[in-house]
Amino acid sequence: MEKTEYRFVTEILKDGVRLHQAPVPLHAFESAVEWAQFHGVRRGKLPSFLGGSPSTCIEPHWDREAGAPYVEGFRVRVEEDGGDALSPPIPITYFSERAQLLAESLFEEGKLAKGERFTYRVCALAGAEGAPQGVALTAAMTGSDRTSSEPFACEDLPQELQLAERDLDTFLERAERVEPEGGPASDALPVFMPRHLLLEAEALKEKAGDVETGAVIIGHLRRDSRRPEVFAEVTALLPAPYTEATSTRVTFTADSWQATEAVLQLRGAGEVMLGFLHTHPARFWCSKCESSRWATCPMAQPFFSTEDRAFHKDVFPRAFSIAVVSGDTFDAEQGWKVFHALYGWHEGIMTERGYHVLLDP
Amino acid sequence: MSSQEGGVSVLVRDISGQKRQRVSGIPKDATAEEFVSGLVASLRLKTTGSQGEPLTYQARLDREGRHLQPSERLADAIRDDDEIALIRNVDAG
Repeated sequence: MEKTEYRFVTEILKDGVRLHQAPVPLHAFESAVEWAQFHGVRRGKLPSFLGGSPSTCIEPHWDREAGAPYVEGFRVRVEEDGGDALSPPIPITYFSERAQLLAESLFEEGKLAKGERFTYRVCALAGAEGAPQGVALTAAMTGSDRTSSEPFACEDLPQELQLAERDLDTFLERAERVEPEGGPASDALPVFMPRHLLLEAEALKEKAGDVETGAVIIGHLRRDSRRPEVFAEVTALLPAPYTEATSTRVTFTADSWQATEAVLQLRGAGEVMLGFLHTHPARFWCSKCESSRWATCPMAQPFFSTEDRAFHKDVFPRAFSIAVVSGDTFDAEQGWKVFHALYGWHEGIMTERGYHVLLDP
Repeated sequence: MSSQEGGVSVLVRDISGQKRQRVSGIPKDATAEEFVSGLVASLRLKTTGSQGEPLTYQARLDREGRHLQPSERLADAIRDDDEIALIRNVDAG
């Protein structure tokens, strides 16, 4: 079990003055712990498992200017039978979504006006009250601290990753790197997507017309022990049947998931669900606007909505999971064309990042 | 429904199969509806969607390849170590 002796607190400030502070709940570190555990697996420092309630410790990374108790991030130490690993620093932006939620509650209380600027900072206070945070963190993530409203005992089981050995260089040699605007997230899990699957995604989008559509991304995780590194090889897109779609939403129904799982079993190739793809038919969204606005319309650029993030977090919480948005963007010279933007967990946050397009043999 | 030590113990997995939990203490006299509701509470799953709409979960019994019907008694349906998939509709925007 674990031993962090710090309690993390988020502070909201207006004009440098503290308006509000709230403890960072234990479950808020769950994505960071998941990412740290997977990072340890990628670097060959931890056995090939995710979840399973490893012993974890959150270590403050003190702000270099303000000093303790203010942090510019934190690191996660993961200890398991067979290894231990300390994650790279996870930046303070990990808490930005939480800070935004706190600010919204201040808007509702009238302590902040709509549109008023605020900043946030995070402190790590020594001498946590009650149980050490790490112990509670492990408990919170496993449900072992269940309450009377939780009638069943639940134990998180570790997921063993099937990591067949492959030479990463042979993949890199026959691939082209695609980078998002604004630069790639460094040290992200390499993802290889065959070119023909991007064409399939484009055809799927075209067939759906003015409504969104979706697919489940399946494939394998591979390991190159010489580096050491783990990478994802996408092998197929399974168009989701039985979805319900509108122009701005696609619902993957219970029947969609059941049918997808049946296809996976029928393929019998040992593939796993790596994530999901959905489309943004922006050329239809923008059809009522003046064409001069299309090239700069934010709806005609890659974006991953709050709803998309919730989808991904709920259904694909593992740190190796990915999401692809295939959408329309407008170019003054080429007209409407389709982009494929890839999102994935990095430092415990969903972010757009680069990928490799595997060229057809 | 009351929790009983020594009740049924099953494996519950999420939609994508990425996470699995051993869930124990499930009373055999519970209905499938009570079972699902207890699972949602015990696993601390969301009960409302992004628009505030209630989320409905279904439990699929892998051994028989079918969804449990809400009024079904667990004693008649599940066995120790059965694997159950907890599934619901999910929206992307």
